[in-house]
Amino acid sequence: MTGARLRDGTLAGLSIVGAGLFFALVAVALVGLIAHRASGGWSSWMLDAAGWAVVRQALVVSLESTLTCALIIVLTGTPVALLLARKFRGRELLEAFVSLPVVLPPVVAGLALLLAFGRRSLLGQALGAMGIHIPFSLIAVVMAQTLVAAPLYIIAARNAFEQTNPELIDAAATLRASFIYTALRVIIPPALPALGAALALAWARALGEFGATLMFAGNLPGVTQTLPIAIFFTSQENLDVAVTISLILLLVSFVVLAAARLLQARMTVG
Amino acid sequence: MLSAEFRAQRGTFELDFAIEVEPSETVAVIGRSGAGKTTALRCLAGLVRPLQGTIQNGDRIWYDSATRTFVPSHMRDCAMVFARGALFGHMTALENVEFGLRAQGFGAKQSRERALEALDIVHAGSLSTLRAAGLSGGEVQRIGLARAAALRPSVLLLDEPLSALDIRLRPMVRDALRDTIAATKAATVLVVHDPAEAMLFAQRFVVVEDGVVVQAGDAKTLRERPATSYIASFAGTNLYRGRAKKLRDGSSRVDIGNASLIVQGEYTGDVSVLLDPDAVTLSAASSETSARNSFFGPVQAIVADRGAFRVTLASSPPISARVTAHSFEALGIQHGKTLYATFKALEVRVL
Repeated sequence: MTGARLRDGTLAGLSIVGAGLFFALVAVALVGLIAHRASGGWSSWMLDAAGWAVVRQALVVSLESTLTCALIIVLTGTPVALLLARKFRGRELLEAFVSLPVVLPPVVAGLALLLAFGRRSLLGQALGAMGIHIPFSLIAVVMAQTLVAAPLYIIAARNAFEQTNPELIDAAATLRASFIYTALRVIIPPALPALGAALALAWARALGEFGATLMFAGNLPGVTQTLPIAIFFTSQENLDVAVTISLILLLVSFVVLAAARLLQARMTVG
Repeated sequence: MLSAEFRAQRGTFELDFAIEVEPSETVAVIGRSGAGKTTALRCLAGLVRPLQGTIQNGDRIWYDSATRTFVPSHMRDCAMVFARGALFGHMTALENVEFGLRAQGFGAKQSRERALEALDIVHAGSLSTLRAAGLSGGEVQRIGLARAAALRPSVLLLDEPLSALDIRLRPMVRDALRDTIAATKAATVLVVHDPAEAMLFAQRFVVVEDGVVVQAGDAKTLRERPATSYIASFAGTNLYRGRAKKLRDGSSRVDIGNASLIVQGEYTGDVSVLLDPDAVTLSAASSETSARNSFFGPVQAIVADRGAFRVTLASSPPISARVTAHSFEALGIQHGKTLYATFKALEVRVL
C-alpha cells in the first residue's frame, strides 16, 4: 500500500513537473513573439507599405494554395479513408504507404517531388512538352502541401469510418445499397463532425507547410511565397514583418485547433 | 423457390448446410448458439461467400461454385432482419424504411408511399418521424421488420428477430413478425435458438448441430422420429393456440377449441401456450390433486424418447407426456388404453 502510494505520489510529482516544463516552453515561445511587438509600443504594430505588401501577397498565396489543397484532400482523401476502413489483404501495407509523409521529413518530400516533376525527369519532360511546368508554380505549392497534409486527414477519417457498426454496412447491403450509396448515407453522415475536425487539422498543417514547399516551389513572392516561407526570408531583413506573419499564423492555428476540438467534443456527445 | 446447398467456413468453424423454401412458406433453422445458423443465413443473404455449393432463388442463381457465380448482397431479391435491428441511428424510422427503396432508385414519392404501407403492417406509423437512435428495443425490431417488408422481397431472412428483446416486449413484436411474414408472402427463413418460437411460425424445420444439418422436416417428423436427443427435447413439446381470459385469482383460462386450461398469470386475447411433456403426469384414473388441468383420452402414440417413453393421448386437445420406463410398465400403458393427463397451471409457458 505504502509503496503504491509512494509510486503514485512520485508519478504525480513527475507529471506536474513535466507538464509545467511543457507549458513553460509553449508560454515562453508565445511571449517571445508577443513581447517583441509590445516592446516597440503600439506604433510598431504598423508596418510600412512594403512590409504590408509582403504580408498581403503571402497571405493570398497561402489562402489560395491551402484552400485548394483542402478541397483536393476532401475529394481524394475521403475515398482512400473509406477504402482503408474496409478489411482487405494488404491493408496495413497500404496504410503505411499512405501515412509515410507524416514521418518523412518535409524537405525529403519536397526533394522527391522535385526529382519526379523536375525538368530533367521523364515526367517533367513529358509535361514540359505540353507546356506545363510544375516546379516553382502555385500548383507545386498545392502539391507539396497536399502530400504532407493529406495523411493527417486520411488517418483521422479512417478512424471515424471504422466506428461504423459493421452490421449497419451489412444491413445496407441487404437493402440493395451499393457501397457508394452506403458510404454516402450510412458511413459518412455520422462521421461528419470528425471529418470536419480532421480537415481543420490537415488545413492547419498545410498552412504551416515550409520544407517541402520551399524545396519544390521555391520562394517567388506573389507566386509561391507562402506565409511560413515569407517569415523565413523576411526575418533576416525585416523582423517586424516576420513577427506580424507569425502572429497571424499563431492566431489562425489556435482558432482552427479550438474549432477542431469543439467538433470532436460534439461528436462524442452526439 | 429458394433452394440452397453449400459448405461455408468462419475461422476454424465449418458449416455444411442445405435448405429448400417454397414461396409463402416459413422454414425455421433451429440450433443452439454457435451451431452455424447465422452463418447459414448470412450465406443466403450474400454477406458471406460459401466455399462450395449452390444457392438459387427461382431461376436466379445467386451462388454456384462450379461456375464461380456470386451475386452480391445488394443484387439479391431478398431482405434481412437483424437480431438487434441494425437500424441507421441518424435517420428517422421512416427514412430507415425508405432506405432500401431509395437505394434501388425509387422516387421520393413512391418510396414514401411504400414505406408508410410497410409501417402499417407492423402498426408503427406513429413512429415514422422519430429518430431511430431513440427508439426502444421493441420499436427498433418492428421498424426493422417494416424496412424488410418495404422491399417486397421474394426471400425474407430473419436472424433471431426476438432474441434480443425483453420477455415483456416479445408478444407485440411476435404479432408484428407474424403480420410481416403474412404480408410479404416470401420464402421465409427464420433463424432461432428457441425451438418453441420456431414452432409458432414455421411449417418446416431445419435443425443444425455443430455445423451440420441433423434433421429437416415438419413438426410431425421431428416429433415422431427425432434424429438427435436435442431434437427430441423440444419436438415433443405440447403447443396450443387459444384465447385467454383473466380470472379473478391472478390466473387465466385459455380456451382451446371446446377444452380449456388454466395458466398462472394474467393474459387476455390470442395466446400460444407451451407445455413440456416432462411436466405432465399420467394416471389410470381421475384423482383429486393440486394440479388444475386434466385431459383424458386413449393412448394414440408411443415414442422412445431419451431413455424414456413419450406417450400421446388422443384427448381434446391431444397431449404428450414423458414417462420413465418404470412408470410405463407400472401403468400398463398400451395403445388405446384411456389415461388421464394432469399438469399444474404453473408448468404452462405462455407466449
